[in-house]
Amino acid sequence: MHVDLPEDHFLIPSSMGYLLYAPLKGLLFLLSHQTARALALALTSRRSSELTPALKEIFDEISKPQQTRTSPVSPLDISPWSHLTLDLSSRCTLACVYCYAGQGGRDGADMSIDCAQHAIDLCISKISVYHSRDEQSGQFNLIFHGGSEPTTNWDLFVRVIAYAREEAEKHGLRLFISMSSNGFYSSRRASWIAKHVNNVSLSLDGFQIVQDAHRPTAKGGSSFRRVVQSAEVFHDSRSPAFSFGFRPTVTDFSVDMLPNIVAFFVDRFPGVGIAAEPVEEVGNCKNSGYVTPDPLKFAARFIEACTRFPDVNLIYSGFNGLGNLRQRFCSASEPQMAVLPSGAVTACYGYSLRDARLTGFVYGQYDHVRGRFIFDEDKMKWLRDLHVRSAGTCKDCFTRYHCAGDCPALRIAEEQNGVLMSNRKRCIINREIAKWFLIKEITYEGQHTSLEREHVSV
Amino acid sequence: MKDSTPPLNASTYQFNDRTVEIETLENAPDFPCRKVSIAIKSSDASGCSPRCECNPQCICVTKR
Repeated sequence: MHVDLPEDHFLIPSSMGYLLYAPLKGLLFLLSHQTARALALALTSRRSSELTPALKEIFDEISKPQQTRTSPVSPLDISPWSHLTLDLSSRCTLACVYCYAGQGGRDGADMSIDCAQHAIDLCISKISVYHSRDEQSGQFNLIFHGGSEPTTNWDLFVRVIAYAREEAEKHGLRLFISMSSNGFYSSRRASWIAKHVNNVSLSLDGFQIVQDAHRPTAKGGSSFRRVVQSAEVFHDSRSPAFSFGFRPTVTDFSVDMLPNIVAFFVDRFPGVGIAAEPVEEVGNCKNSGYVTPDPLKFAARFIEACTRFPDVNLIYSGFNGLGNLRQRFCSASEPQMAVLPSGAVTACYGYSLRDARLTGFVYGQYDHVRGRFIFDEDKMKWLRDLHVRSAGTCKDCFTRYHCAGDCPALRIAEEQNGVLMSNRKRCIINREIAKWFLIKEITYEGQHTSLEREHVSV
Repeated sequence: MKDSTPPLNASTYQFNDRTVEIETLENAPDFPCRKVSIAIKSSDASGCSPRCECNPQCICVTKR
C-alpha cells in the first residue's frame, strides 16, 4: 500500500507504530499498522466514508489547509546588523586534532584595530536607524568567534571590547558580548572575561583523556587543567550578566564516552548548558585520524545522555526541540556580518576559508585604504535564500523545520558532490534524534503542561 | 583510533517521509491511535535568533 501525503505531512515508521506528523499544524499521531493502512487507502482514493469516526477525524486534520496557525516558523526578516562577529586573529594557543581552520601555532595575522572599529561603527549606525523607530531593537550583539582563539592577541581583544562599549553607550544601545573560547589562559584573564563578556561558549571536550587527545597545546602538551581552571572561574562568576556553556566536540574516539562526558560536566559544573556536536571532517582531521562518529552511534549516545540527564540543558544544533520550528539553520542566511582577520566579510565563520566550499560565503571586504566596507549585493541576495524552503532535497524529510536544512555550507557541498541523502551523516543524526523526541512525546504521559493531550480510540 | 564496529544500518536509511510504502503485515499489533498537539513557538519568539552550533548564544538561550 502506497501513500502520498500532502506537503509538510509525514508518515514515519517506528518501533512503536507509524508516526503521522504535521509540524506546521503542531499535530502528531501514533497509528498502528492497520490504521495507517486504512488511512493510506482513504488518502489515495480521497474517500473517507468508510473510515471510523476517529480515523475520519485524522483524515480531516490532514486534509485541512495548512494555515491553521499564523507564522509557525521563525521569520526571515531579522536585521543582520544587530550581530557582528569578529575573528580577531589567525593564531591559536591550541593545536586541536580536528581544527577546521587547520590551526596549530602562533603564526598568522591579526585583525587591524581600524578594521574592527569600522565594523562596530557600521553595525551601530545601522542599528541606530532601527532603534530610533523601535525601542525594542536597541541591542548590539558583539561576538568573538572564528578559526582562532580570540584572546591570543589580548591587547586587541581588550581594546575592541572597550571601543564597542563606549560606542554602544554613546548611541544608547545595550551591548551583549559573547565569545567562543578555548579557555587556555590564566585565571586572572578568565576573571576579566567573566566581568566584561556576557556569554562564553567554552570548548572543553570532557574529562582529561578526551580533552588532551582532542585539544593539545600548540606544543603538544596537556590543556585540561588550565581549561578546567577557567571553567571553575566562569562557574563561580555566573550572574544575570554572565553565563557560560560547554561546547564539546565528539569524534569517533569519544562518541561512546558521550554520556559519561555529560556526567562529568553535570558533576563538576552543575546547571551549565552543554552543546555536543559531531566533528566535521575538515582541516586538521584530514591528517590526524580523528573522524566523524558513526551517525547512528552519535544519535544513540546523545539520546542516552538525554535520558540519563533529563533536566540538563543538553543540545545538538540539528534539533532544538519539537515546538521550535525554524526556517534557517544559522545566521549565514541573514546574512550575518562576520569579519575575518584580513577584513573579508563572510556569512559563515564556521569553517576556514582554506576550505574551498566556503569561499562562496564571502560577500564583502574591508577597504583598508579608504576605511570602509564594500559589499556584494548579489551575493547577499543569494545568501538570504539559503533557508529550508529553498533546499529541494529536504522537501520530503520530516525534520525539515527542526534542522532547517542543517549547515548550508555542508549541504551545498554535498549536493554539488552528489552525496546521497543516505550518506549524509548529520541528516541521519537529525532524523534519529527528532524521531526519538516524537516517540517520547506521544508515549510519555502527562507532565508537559504546554501540550494538549487527547487520546482517540479507533 | 578507528572503531571496528560496523555501521548500524545507515545505508538503508529512507529520507522520503511523504511517499511511503506500507507493507502488508499479518498479525501486526493493533492499538488505539493517539494524538498529541504540540505547542509551536518560533525560535525568535523565545529571544534567540536561529544560529549555528558554533554560536555561544545558542547554549544558554535555547532550551530543549
